[in-house]
Amino acid sequence: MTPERWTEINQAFSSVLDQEPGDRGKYLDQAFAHDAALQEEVARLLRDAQAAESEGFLREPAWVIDDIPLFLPDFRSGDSEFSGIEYIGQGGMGVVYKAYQKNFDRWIALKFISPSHLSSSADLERFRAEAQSMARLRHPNIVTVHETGEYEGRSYFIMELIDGKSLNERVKDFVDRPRDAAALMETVALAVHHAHQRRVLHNDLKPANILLDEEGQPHVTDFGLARRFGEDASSSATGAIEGTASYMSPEQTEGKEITTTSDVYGLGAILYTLLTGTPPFRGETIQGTLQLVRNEIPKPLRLLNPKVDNTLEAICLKCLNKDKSQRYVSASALAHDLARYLSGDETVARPRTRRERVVAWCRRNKVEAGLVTAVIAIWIFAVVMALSVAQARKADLLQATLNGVSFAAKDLATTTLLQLRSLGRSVDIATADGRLAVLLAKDDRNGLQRILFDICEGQPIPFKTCYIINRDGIMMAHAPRADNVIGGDFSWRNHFQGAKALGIKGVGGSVYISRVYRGRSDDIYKFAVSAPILDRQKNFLGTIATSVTTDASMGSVFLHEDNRKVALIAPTDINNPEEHGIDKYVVLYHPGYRKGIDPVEFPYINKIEMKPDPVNNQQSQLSDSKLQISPDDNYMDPVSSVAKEYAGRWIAGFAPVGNTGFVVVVQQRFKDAVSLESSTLWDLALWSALASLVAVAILVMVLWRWARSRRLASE
Amino acid sequence: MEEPQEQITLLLAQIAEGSVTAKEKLIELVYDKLHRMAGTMMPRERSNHTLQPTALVHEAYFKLFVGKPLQATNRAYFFGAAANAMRQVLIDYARKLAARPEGKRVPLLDGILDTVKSTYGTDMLDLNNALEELKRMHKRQWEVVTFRFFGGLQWSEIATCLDVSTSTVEKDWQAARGWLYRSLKGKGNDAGTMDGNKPSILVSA
Repeated sequence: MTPERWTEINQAFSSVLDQEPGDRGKYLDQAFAHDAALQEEVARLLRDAQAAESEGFLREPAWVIDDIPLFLPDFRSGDSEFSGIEYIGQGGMGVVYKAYQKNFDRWIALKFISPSHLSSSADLERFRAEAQSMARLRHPNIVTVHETGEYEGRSYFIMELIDGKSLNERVKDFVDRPRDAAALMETVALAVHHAHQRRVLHNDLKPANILLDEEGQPHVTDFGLARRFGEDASSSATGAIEGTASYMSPEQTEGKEITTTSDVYGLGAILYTLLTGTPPFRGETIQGTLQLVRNEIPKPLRLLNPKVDNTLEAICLKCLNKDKSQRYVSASALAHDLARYLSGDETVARPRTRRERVVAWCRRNKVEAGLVTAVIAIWIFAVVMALSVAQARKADLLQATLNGVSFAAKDLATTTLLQLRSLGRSVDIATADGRLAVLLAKDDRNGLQRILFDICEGQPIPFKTCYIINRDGIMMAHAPRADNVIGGDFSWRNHFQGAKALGIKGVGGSVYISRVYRGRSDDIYKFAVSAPILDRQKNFLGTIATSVTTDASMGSVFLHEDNRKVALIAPTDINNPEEHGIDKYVVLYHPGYRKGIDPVEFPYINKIEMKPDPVNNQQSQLSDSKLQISPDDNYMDPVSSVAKEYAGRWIAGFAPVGNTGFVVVVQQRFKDAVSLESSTLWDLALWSALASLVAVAILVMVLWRWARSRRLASE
Repeated sequence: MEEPQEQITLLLAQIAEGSVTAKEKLIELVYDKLHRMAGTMMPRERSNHTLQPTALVHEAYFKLFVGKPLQATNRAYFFGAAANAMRQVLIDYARKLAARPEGKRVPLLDGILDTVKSTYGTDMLDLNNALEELKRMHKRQWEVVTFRFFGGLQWSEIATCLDVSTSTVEKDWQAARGWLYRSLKGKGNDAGTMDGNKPSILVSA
């Protein structure tokens, strides 16, 4: 088509449009009757224009999706005039300007709502109603709506101007600071609760709708502005809805009834975003996101950010529960749980374990916890000190007793040895009588008997019996007279063998202290002091011996202290020639023995470690022993088997009597020895009482403080 | 080089005096700005995909004028230039895309092309071809469509730019749009539909 022709058609077209609408058809028919072709062209253009109009062809500019006033040269609102209008930015709801409201002398934010948000007259009605309730909201953390109105057919708000950024741009600041996120959301939740109490729902809580001022204080904006998604789910192509879908509650995506708990969900979704840096659900497309919101469980926060603890995670997920009844009942319930979390109190979302309660109490009541710890420490210290003092004291006492019994045993062993030496000297003197050798050589029993009487009765010592045995071990004489043993073979007796060994070695002048045996004639336990009888050529002719019973002579030297008992251990001889090789010891003397009690075997041979060998003993029996026997603090008295009063634990000291094989035992009861003196006990009691007193005082103080805090809390 | 703002103010003054070269220079200048901004303005995040072409033009305007309001006439000139520039940005992009589909994509411009396609069922390059034809036949109508469709200007603003009455602008728009509709949709060419089926525009405008 040529420009000329087109211009012609246009002029005709224009002239038709200049007519009143009702007259146009008639005008077209009449005015161009002369030119059917032109008439046809104009009619066609009219049809095309009409079709384009009814289809909305090119109605909206290519990219001006929301028709917002670009210029505000003469903007007025009621009586207010404005200056310094500046564009701030564009959000989901529309374009925001900053302006100075002259008559109020304040800077305000001027927000034009996109027409797409208010496409029907019902929308507009609802918007006006909600705008009124929003204008009633007065809360430091809610962006105040000063007034609303319409300008060039566009609805606008005049709002409090918040200098700062939206939370959407600050999300990353909170990922590393979960506690700050919790504190922020506590404030936001309280603000939302304030609106709920005034019957205003937000419906579109998301980071972009939380403004942070210069001090970081949150201000919730765009209350109730979100369109009802259920009513408009299909036309959700714009970014505004896309940004919202991730924060939408499941019931909202399904077009179901929206309640205050839907806003609790939104608060939880924001908290989730702050804690993890990403919204709870985000799909490839809006529909995908909505699917996730309806059907999926949010990924555990701690997988995305390990800095989030269990409790905060539980709080957040409680908000995001698909089941409304499982969420917090109100925004304030959420705020209070966040506050409890921040102060370390137990939360509704995650009840504590017992251990956590104790830890939390301590963390919250540092002074009290410190005091209680101090009290426990003092108590423990006192107890440890008392125990260690007592232990040290006991150890000292034990050592002293061990030393004491060992020393006493040595002392007594020495005394006993001296006594034995004295006995031995008497016997030794007797061997010096030359008549004995002569008579033994002659085998004159009667002569020997007579001399024996002389010797024995002339002695001041309490010899029980004396006897002479020839070199073959045959009893030659016995005093007092005992014909039944004369001529008997005693070569197997230890006292004979010991003396014979001394005689054959030609030592002479020595005596032998025998093992203990039970006398044939009197059935009494005794030992013998024997000595070899030699002729001038030092030939062994026989032995002379005297037996010693323990009751009369040896017993007299023993200590008799109340708390110490003395016993004498001795090796035993065989009872007949057939027995041999038996190394046995008996307790020869013991204060617990009563008449008619036989000596008790002493089982701890290893303890004695001394097996006197009558033949090969290199040392004189009556010389001082070099043997040391260590004391025993856990000694069981073998006599306790016949005398019950000796049962229990004893501390025993041992000392060998020369090289005789005899051992002196001095024993003291363990519990007597190491029982603490009353002064020590008093000291310990005093200190313990002092510690307890301090402890009780501190505990009372803690309890008083606790009770006071409870009282204050309840008021 | 002059400050963009001063430069633009000067250009606007020259445009007001009827300078055609000033108009072209302004378009060139705004084109540069828009072109660069379109390339850098990626939709920031999926969740925050709220950046729209309106915002782009606004941003360009406020960047060039540092937020200072202009006189209504100058604003009209400016946005007229912006509309031209924006159209140029878009057409250039569509051409480049047609030649090398695997080339670098600008999501913002992709979004516009998609929206135009899905909303009006027409390809941007086809539309541009039709517009070129229209320009040849009637330059003012072409300008009206450009200001309206690529700039979102109000009728009064377009009238200011073109120094004609608002009703003329509206009639130009009706004619141009009817013609474009016919060219692009191929509908209404059938003469047989005319009789007894008078367009309702004859009854109510």
